[in-house]
Amino acid sequence: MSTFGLFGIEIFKQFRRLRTHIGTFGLLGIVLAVAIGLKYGDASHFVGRLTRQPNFQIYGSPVNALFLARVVLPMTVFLFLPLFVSLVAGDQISGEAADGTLRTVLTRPVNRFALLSAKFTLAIVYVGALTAFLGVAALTVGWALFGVGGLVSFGWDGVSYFGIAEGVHRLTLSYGLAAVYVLAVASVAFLVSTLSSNSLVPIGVTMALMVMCGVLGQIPYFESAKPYLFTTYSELFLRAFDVPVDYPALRHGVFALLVYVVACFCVSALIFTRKDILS
Amino acid sequence: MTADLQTTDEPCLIAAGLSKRFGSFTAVDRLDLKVDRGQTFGFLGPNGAGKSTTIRMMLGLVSPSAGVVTLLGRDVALERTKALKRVGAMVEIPAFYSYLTGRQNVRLFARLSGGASEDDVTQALKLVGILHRADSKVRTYSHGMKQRLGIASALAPRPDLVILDEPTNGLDPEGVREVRDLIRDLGTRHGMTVFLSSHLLHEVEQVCSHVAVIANGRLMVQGAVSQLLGNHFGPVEFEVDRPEEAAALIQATMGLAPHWTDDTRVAIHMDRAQAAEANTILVGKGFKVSAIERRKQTLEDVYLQLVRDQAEVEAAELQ
Ligand SMILES: Nc1ncnc2c1ncn2[C@@H]1O[C@H](COP(=O)(O)OP(=O)(O)O)[C@@H](O)[C@H]1O
Ligand SMILES: [Mg+2]
Repeated sequence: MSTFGLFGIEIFKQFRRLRTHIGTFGLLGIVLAVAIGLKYGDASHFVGRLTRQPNFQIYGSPVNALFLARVVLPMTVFLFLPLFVSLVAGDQISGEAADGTLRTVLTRPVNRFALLSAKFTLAIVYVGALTAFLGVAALTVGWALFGVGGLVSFGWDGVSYFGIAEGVHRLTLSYGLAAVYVLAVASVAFLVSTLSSNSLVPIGVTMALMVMCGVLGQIPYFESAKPYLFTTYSELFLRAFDVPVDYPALRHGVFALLVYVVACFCVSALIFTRKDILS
Repeated sequence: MTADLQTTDEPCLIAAGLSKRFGSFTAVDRLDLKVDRGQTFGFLGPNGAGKSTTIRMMLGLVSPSAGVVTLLGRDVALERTKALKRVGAMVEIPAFYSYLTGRQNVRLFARLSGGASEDDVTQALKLVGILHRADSKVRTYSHGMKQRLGIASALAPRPDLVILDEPTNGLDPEGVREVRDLIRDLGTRHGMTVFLSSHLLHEVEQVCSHVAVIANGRLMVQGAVSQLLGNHFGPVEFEVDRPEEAAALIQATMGLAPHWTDDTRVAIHMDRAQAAEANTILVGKGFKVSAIERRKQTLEDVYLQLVRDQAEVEAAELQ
């Protein structure tokens, strides 16, 4: 059976699993919590915290659909999105190994590389879908509660204002960059999943790696290793709001992350196509 | 491409010098097997003998440390997906997607084998007797039902060769009987070649036309069940009024030692002509012979004998 056919089967299976939807509900919960906080709480104080500009005086509220989509991204990219995608990506091989279904599948005339490719494609699609869901949910909830307007974005170097069209464009770019980073994390979880027959191990290892790389990246002594740590690019999505956008820097970051993705897939293919299925 | 396979006399399954080592432990040791088209082949051995490991190698789940497996004319190591095209298999306890129904599982795995019609799926579920629960989630199945589902999903794509690992494990006595009848039918009625492993002698004896016995990863014997039993005659039992005296008389006149005696019988190893002669002698001396019977040799006798021989060989090797 072709990778495409196998992908169809993987989608069919994945959709029927509870863990697929945990991420969706989790993100929706976060969006709603932030929206409620902005709507009913002390908005100006909250906005100050969100933008890290407590003393900045703004006339009129910056809060709208675009603003909500802007602020929920940094709240999820560093932990929740990686966690939720690892839950799915890290389960791809290890989960089926644990359940014994991997053995059942591989008694069939299914090419191992094609199966792995189908599962990896699924992980990519899941990352894309979950990130897009976050954006759409934030825009929808924000539109319902606050309406639509231009985007006020606060960076370390000051405040920027984008019109609606430019705001949507910047947000799309930012969500795309976030998705690439999250995909790199998912690839690590996927790789670990070919090594384990316990579906919790990939999540644990991936989260541990994220923390470790994050710590390394903050120690000046390891400065030279920084370009090679995937966590270095965790904040890449924020640079979509730079004025002007530094496209070469973005391209470089995306390239580094994609190298991670491709390398993880290649290594997992090397492991999986040779591995003895003993579970 | 595959059509010519139907007509050749090439064996369905060949294992040549098949070995698997886990570290320093040898689970399967230079195994040679040959299964011809149409056979129902029993792969018999005690727990831990290496049956499942062998089947995993046959299906390409595990790569052999040495040796080659050919399924339906194709080398599994080189052309795994082509070799498995017409094979239906179940290894160890069948595992399914518990969040899907039995029918969805059978359908899904049939698709992986190249597809089965909805009719074939239903037919397979019916054959193993779980059609009434086919639309419940597998999560709710008992162990025996999963075992049956395993057989159904092996059969649904209508394979030429069926490989089943201890298919009656976990079934109740009635289920065991049903499944054995079903397996016998696969060969006789559906023209499939069946390779099944078992640790139960009588199961293989009841179901299989051919058998290979494995112990500690090594092949002990292989052949047609009838032939194996025929080569190993059991003793002839005489039901007689004075067994001890009768035994002494036969020993004195024919030089044949009794195998055993009890209150009513004496059992002596002898061929047909000798049995007739012994009868004449006994009757001539006034013994009352009420029955002569050659106890049918069971596979168990052969098997236990083989295991004993093997132990002796190994003991001799150690000295
Ligand atoms: N992954 C493994 N690592 C080490 N030893 C194993 C492994 N799998 C099986 N074995 C050993 O190989 C032998 C054969 O096992 P198996 O093929 O499952 O036997 P059977 O199916 O005949 O009961 C057993 O002694 C078992 O302990
Ligand atoms: Mg076994």
